[in-house]
Parts: sequence; C-alpha cells; structure tokens
Amino acid sequence: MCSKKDPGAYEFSKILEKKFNIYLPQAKAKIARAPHAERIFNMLLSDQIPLAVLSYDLVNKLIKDNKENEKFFKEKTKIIFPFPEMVLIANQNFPSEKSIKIYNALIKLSNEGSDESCIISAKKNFLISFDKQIKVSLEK
Amino acid sequence: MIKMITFCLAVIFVCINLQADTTDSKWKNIVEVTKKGDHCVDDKNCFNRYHPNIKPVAKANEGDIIIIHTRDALDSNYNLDSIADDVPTINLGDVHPMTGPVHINGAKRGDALEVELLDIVPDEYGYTVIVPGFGFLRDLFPNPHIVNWQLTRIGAVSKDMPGITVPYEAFPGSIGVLPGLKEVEMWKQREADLAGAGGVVLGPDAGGALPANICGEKGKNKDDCLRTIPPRENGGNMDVQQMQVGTKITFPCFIDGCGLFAGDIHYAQGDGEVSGTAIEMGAIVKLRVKVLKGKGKYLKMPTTLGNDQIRDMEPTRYYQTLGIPLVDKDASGKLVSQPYFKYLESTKIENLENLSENLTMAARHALLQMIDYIVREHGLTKEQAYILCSVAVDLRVGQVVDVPNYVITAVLNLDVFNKYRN
Repeated sequence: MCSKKDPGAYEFSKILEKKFNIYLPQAKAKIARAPHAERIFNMLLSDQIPLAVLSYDLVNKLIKDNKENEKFFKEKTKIIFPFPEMVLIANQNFPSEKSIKIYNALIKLSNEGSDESCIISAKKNFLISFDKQIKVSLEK
Repeated sequence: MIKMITFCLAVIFVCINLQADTTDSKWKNIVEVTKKGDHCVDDKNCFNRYHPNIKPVAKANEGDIIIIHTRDALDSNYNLDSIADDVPTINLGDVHPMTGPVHINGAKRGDALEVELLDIVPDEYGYTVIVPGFGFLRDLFPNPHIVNWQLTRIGAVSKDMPGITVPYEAFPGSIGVLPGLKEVEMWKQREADLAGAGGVVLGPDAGGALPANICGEKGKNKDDCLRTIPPRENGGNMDVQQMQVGTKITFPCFIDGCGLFAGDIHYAQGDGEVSGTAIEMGAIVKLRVKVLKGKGKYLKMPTTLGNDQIRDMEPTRYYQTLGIPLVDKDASGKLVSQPYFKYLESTKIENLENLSENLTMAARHALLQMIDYIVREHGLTKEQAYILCSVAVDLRVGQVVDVPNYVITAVLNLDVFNKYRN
C-alpha cells in the first residue's frame, strides 16, 4: 500500500509487486493506493492491509507536521526493509516470521543489484525501528 | 401636481412590470441543505450512522421545496483519474455519507412522511467499482476494478466501457428517516442475533462514524449508532431504482420531525446492483414532503407511489437469460462452494447441484449466463460485463411456484450499446 500523495511511491510499489511475484510468489502481492497518509495509518492499524511503502520525504514531513504522527510511526510500526528512497513498513503486530521471509526475499533482490532503487540502504537514527528478527539478522 | 406625481408613479410601475422576467415570478419556499468541505467529516450537514440523537440541520414545512446537496456513497474518494489500485483502500467506516437530517414541522412519531422526488441534478463524475470481498459474485471477482463515468443527463459514458452509453435514470440509493430509540434497540438486537449465528452483519462501529460527538470513538451513543449499509424499516440504503423522479416514497416516522435525509445517489443501476455499486455520484436532490397524520402504523416498510416511471425505464430492446436454483461448477466440473449459505452450516446442501425454491441461486444462475453472453457477443472483459450488469441488467422474479425451480431472469437493456442508438 502506498499514498496517492507520495510522489514515486506508486511507481516503486509496482516494481516491488513484480519482484515479489518472482522472489516470494506465495505472498501473492498486490498493490493498493490510499488517497492520503491518514488512510494508510487506518489500514495499517486495523490490519486491513499489512504493509506500506512510504518515501522518507513523506515520513519526515508527516513527523514534522504533528506529534501524533511521530507517535504512530514510533509505537505502531516497524521497518521490514529500507530502500534508498523508500521504506517498507508494517504494523507492529505483523508476525515476525512473515517479516523475515519478506526481508530475506528482498535481500535476494538487493544482492541481485539489477535495480538501484531496490538495494538495501538503512538510514542512521531513523525514527522507526526494525522488526526484532530482522534486526538480529542485520546485526549478524 | 398630485395628478402629475400619480401619473409618474403609474408610468414607473408599468415600466417595472414590463421589465420583470418570468424567472422573477416565484412561488416556492426553499429550504436548502448544502455541502461544505471535501468529505463528510468536514461538513456539519453530513452524517454516516443512524441514531435519534443526531440533531436536525434544517427545518421545513409541508410543501416547502427541500434541496439537499449529497455526497457519493464512498465519500468523494474517487475522480476521473482513479485506478483499480485505489479501490482496496476505501474505508467502509465512511459509508454512506448522508445529508441532513431535516426536521419536518408538525410531524410526530406514528405519522407517515410522503416524500415527493422532484428532481436530481447529477454531478459530472460518477464511478462503479468492484470491491474485493463485496458484491453478489464476490467469490468469482476477487480483484478490484473501477470504471470512471462522465455524466450528463443524456447518458453516462466511460473510456473504460467503450461503445456503451448508460441512460440517465437517477434515484436516491439512500433516503429515509431517523429511527427512534426503541427501533435502534430492536434492530441492533436482531442484527446481533444474526451475527451471532454467523450472518453477514456490520454492527455498530465507531471507526469513521459521524457525527463524531454522538457516534465516533468518544461519542456518547457510539455503541448504538446503526450502520447505513442495510436498508431497514426507516428506508436508508434501499437501492431501489424505481424510486425515480416523480415518485412519492412514504416512510413511517419514528421520531418527532421524522429526521429526513438523503445521499448515495445513483445515476443508474440495474435491479440487483450486482457488483456492489451502481453509477455512484454526488448530486443535488429536490424534494417536497407531506405529513400523513397517524398513518405510520400501516407501514411495515417504506412504499413507493408512481405513475409512468417504470414504463419509461423499460428498454426498447433487450436480451434475457433465465436462472433456476442450480449451483455452478468450476472448470473441473466440481460444484462451487457458495458464499451465501455458509452461516447456515448446512451439510445437507453441500453436494447438491439443484437447490429447492432458492431465489439467490436462481439469480446467480441467470447472472452468470448474462456475463457469459456479454463477454461472448459484445467483446467486453468479464469485469466490464459484471460492471455492466450492475448498472444496466435487471434481475426479475419469473415465478415462485414451480418447485423446486423458482425462476429469476436477468434482463439486459440493449439500448446501452451505441451500435443500437441513434
């Protein structure tokens, strides 16, 4: 899921959907585009759509806009995979075993190196923390 | 001198009269409820749950012309640039934004309210969607789809539906009156009972509920605000296309002032609205009301009184399929598990190809044949055909006596194809 008001996020999501269908076909990935970030919050919180792709620009803007957003990202979401311009996040309740499967599939994609926009690129001091299992994997 | 002044005044009076245009001759007393802001949440005249504590936003007398500016069923989330990927993110909590309520002076609980539909002015844009998990054939159409329509009173056209023009036959998908406290309790209970038995029921849900101070997360009646999706004795989301301009719809009144509302206007819809949506649009609706003292007790549900409206909607040419209660089979010949009977947990019907006296399966049987016909003979995709059925195919009861095979027919208005139009 991405936001209609997040430039580049929809196009990037389409690339990810294609790659998911190669590297993690059992996930049956499908894109959904929300009208605005608030809907993304709703859909994530209510478990209606588990994953969201957001640009760092949008996340930073939303955090700047108000403290509620900051609290939402900090307490309710976790990083599944950081790309150079975008970040794939999930609801905190999204199961770790699924998170690590997605992460491993995307690491394969990153290592393939065919698309610069899909290479892993973790930002330092970013507000949203990684899924616990992914964090362990990263530290290895 | 006095004669001169009198003469001058008379000349001025005549001149003024001569200058008057027919537009200046007025007889209507207008009560107008407008829209403000992009969405229901921005608008004090908008709500999306039913509860008697929702305060009226206007008052009207019998005979007044009530003009209501309405929002579309999904609260203005789509436009001509919308795509299928925008559909899964709709918030069902926003459904359906209603404009009102309007307090009708002199109307009391126990009366009936006759609402005459005077006019519907369509927006320029409308849409029809297939929402995953929703609609009559939700098991067969799991993917989102949208058709964006350009609307005039001549017809609805879309680049997503080449060669098709759907005639303008607008009506309120939702129109009704507020329930009383007694009705809220009664309806909530019967729906909870059904939900407990596994039925498809959307109970009170404060997410996105408006007005927020009554029905929202911190609202004082949040557990008692009824959802707008099912039609009930107060009308609401009836989705009955025969409620055309010129008809009079009568509702039983459950509160003093009745609490009249309207919204979710449909540009056109087939009987069945099978994909889950009609041609949905915002619109301006013009109404006039009459209070029928003490007549509420005769109404179990709303009724409609019309003249030639049904005749005028009939197609000049049509194609009809016929359905009986047969369960469809997949490509391997296996019976398809039906979503409608799951809550009945009936093991008896699991392996039956033929059901008894079942209009749901007869409707499905007729509809599936119609979709096949449209794909085969008119070259549309299955999704386009399903959408066309939702806006221009009427499911009709053939008979309910010839056991076990009751008949539903699907009637496609062939006038929608440009090749048949002048």
